Amino acid sequence: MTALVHGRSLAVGYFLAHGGWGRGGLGRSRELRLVDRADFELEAGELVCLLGPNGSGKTTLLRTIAGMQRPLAGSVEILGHDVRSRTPEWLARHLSIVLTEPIDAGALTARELVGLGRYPFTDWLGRLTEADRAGIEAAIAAVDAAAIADRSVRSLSDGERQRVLIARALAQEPRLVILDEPTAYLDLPRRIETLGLLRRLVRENGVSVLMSTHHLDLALSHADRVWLLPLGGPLAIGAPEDVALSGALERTFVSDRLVFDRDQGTFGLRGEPARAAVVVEGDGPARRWVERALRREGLAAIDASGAATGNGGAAASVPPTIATVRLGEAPRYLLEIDGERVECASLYALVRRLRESGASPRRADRT
Amino acid sequence: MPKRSRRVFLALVLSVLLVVLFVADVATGSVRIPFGATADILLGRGSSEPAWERIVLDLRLPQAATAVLAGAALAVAGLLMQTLFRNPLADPFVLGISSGASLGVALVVLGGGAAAGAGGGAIVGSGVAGAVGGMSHVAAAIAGAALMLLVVVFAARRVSTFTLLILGVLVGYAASAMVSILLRVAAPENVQSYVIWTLGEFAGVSWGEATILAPVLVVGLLMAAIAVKPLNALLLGETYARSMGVAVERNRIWLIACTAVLAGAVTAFCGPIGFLGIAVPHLARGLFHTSDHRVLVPGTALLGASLALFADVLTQLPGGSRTLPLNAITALLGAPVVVWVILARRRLYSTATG
Repeated sequence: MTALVHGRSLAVGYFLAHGGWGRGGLGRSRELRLVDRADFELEAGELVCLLGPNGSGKTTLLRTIAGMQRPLAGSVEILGHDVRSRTPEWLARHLSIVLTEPIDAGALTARELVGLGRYPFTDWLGRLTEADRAGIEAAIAAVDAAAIADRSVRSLSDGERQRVLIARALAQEPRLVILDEPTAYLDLPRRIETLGLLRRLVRENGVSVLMSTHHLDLALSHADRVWLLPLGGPLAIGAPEDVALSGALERTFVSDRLVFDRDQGTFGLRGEPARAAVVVEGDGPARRWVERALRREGLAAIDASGAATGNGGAAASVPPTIATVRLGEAPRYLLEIDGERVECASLYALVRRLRESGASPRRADRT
Repeated sequence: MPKRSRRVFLALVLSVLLVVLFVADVATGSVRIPFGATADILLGRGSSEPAWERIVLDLRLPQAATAVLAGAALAVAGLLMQTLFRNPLADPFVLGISSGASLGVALVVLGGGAAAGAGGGAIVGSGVAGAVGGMSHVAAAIAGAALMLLVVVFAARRVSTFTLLILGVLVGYAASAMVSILLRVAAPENVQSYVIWTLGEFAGVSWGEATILAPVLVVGLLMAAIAVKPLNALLLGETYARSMGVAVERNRIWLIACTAVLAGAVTAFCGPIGFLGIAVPHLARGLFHTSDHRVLVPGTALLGASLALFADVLTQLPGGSRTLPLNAITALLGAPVVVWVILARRRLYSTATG
């Protein structure tokens, strides 16, 4: 089986012109290589997330794969054809795009906008045939946008507009949809919905999706494979679980201040080691949230036996115990501190009490 | 489809309006001719006054016909530029076409018409002037606009559309600068003649000139008509357009050439007429409630023709022997539209953000 997209020793980046007219080329130009010697395959019916820090060249790589930008070296092939050798019409029938920037579509309705996706199939006037109309309605249905199809694009919310833009990309009947940060302007629920939508399109319509994103958690839980693009580094490819376990994910976003929690699959700020510990007695969901609140205060949570909990087993040596929290009937927290027993109605009250006693190192640092 | 029937109805209303304004334009002028007599002459029944017949058929009819074509041309050219540059304040002259034409005319008029070798416009201008007589303005304007077009097209293949917009505006300023230098050194009577040209008028066009202008403008309008599909794709921006199969660079040059033909020809024959090109596309969008160029191109042409006729009627209204400058009327009509567009956009933004 040949892959849908094939990258062969691909180098992407920009020509930095020495004055003059840029690409037209007066004088010799230097290159800025963002990605070098990348070999990759993208299978039909695959959802791939491209991850990498800002400035690593995600957008440039996507543009190059979409045939909008000349590779510095190597080639991109779609179904065995070099994209640079194909006409815009051919490319339009094989891949479509969704860009990050919000669009200003004038007075177009959502349906008219989706209809523009039929561009490669219509006559010189852009008249829609019955087949075109059916394709448009199918695309609108696929993104659950029937209810907003007659509204003007200007009046749509960010999430609705994103769905309509995805429908436009689908109306082009592509084999591959390339999305540049489709989740950028969306709130968390809309981000999850968008990923779920793309996941469903891949499964039901058989299109392939290649999208860049900064939302690692979403990418790791929804992508078939992730492409990791570290700054200046080689492109690394693998299933989300593989790149998490192998440490490739950590290396891509490596920084002095960040730690990757392999258990949780999340990045966090590297915290100071806990200066004091608090015994937490009790169980259930409340325990997890108490641990979080303590961690934010720079306190380690331990259980009655003195073992650290809730920090991924990170603490090597357990700091001195300064207090005990007993989880009662929610939302009551019984705090024993300085030989005193305080009943706290909320975790906020609990944390305030800890700070007042000087137990919280954050508080101590500041005064 | 109510949307469709609404558009057909609007087109009908505008067509009737166009005919009414056309007749009104022919019926008004510095010489008072009774409306009945005008109608008789127009319907081919002749007139008792041979002078009236001459005025209506040889002066006012070509003037009104020019207004129709020039209004449509400027309005459509403005639409093309607004879509190409995705800028609501773009007009047919953003690429410096009219500045180039003005420079060409300035070289001929202010240089005394005989100054040989004073620049491209003057060379062609005075050369053609010998052959065609009174057409030297026209030839000079065409040469100047063509020169500017060459510069812009050369740049269009190499820079982004946005850079092109800035380039066009700056080249326009440079041309205006040269014109002002010429104005400073020219003889006062030539300055007067040049300034009158810049006020613009449809009246100066004879049947002979109209037979040149009309085919050129019809070709330009047809060029615009066959570009409606890529124009619609451009609504989403050049990147999306390219991804849908538009050959963006080739299309850009096509639209620029089209605008140059339309705006260049009108400027050459009628002078630099402002505001129609910027205001009419907005009016058309508002009236037809759409951004679809399959509706907007004919709609803008129809509306532009009507507004040009209306403006021309207003220049003649006071009844005296003097006419008001056309550019003043188009500005007075157009400026409120532009202000309205800016305010409406701000309202849109403010409702979008909070």
